[in-house]
Amino acid sequence: MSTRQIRLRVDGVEAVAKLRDDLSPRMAEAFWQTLPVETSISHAMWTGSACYYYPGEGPFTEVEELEYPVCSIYPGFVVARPRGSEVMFSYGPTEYRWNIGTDYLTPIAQITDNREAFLAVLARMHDEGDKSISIERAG
Amino acid sequence: MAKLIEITIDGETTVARLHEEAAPNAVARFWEALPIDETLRHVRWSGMASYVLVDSLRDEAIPLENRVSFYQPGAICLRPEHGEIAFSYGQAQARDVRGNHWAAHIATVEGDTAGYLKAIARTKRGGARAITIKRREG
Repeated sequence: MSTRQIRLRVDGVEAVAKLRDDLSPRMAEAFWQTLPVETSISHAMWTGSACYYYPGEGPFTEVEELEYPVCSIYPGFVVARPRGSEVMFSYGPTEYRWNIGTDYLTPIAQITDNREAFLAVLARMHDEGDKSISIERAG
Repeated sequence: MAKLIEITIDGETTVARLHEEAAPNAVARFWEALPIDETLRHVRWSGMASYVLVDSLRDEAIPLENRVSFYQPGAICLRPEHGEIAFSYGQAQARDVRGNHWAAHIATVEGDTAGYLKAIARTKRGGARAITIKRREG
């Protein structure tokens, strides 16, 4: 199977990411099934340099277990929690945490094209607040 | 007489009482640093709080008096290693990329704090904004 790609857009800046089916086939497929997405994205408050949205009801809720669990999220990675409670984008030093401590997520995609410009937009959210994000399949 | 400060965010002014007895040295340094006109940003690691960075308070010689790690709503806490003053509006803790830390609890807001806590919380989704902190005279 060829690598599946998605297109992300925030504040007029576009990036392409490849799905990490190789690491997390079930969660990556669930994410794929939710697309296209148009929603609001917010900055994290326990996790460091990351932004997130809540996917709500849908295919994500059927994936109840972590795949390839990680807590450090490298810049440019897109990660998700089981049961569809959160999709997160890292733009800098990030460790997934809540008020009670460190938690784990599943990597589902990795930005490949226009990475630096896209991460810069996410970083600006610390000063500028919430923004809209659109995510669609890109082949 | 107790030292008081006025904090203004989004046109809303709140009074806080400095904890001189519990944190005499840290409070004295903070008092010297006033007035502060800065940009208030939401924390990225510490939960339900916002912060400003003040160069003159970045000094590890400032003692961690009235030491706390968890911030209660309305607490104002100083982390001297960063010159960071944190303003909590819910559950929060002194944290950064390296983990959990300590802070000096230097002041607590008084009176009707609802508008103040909402103003602090607005930095989470609404972004950074101006904050002014000054001595309350009289």
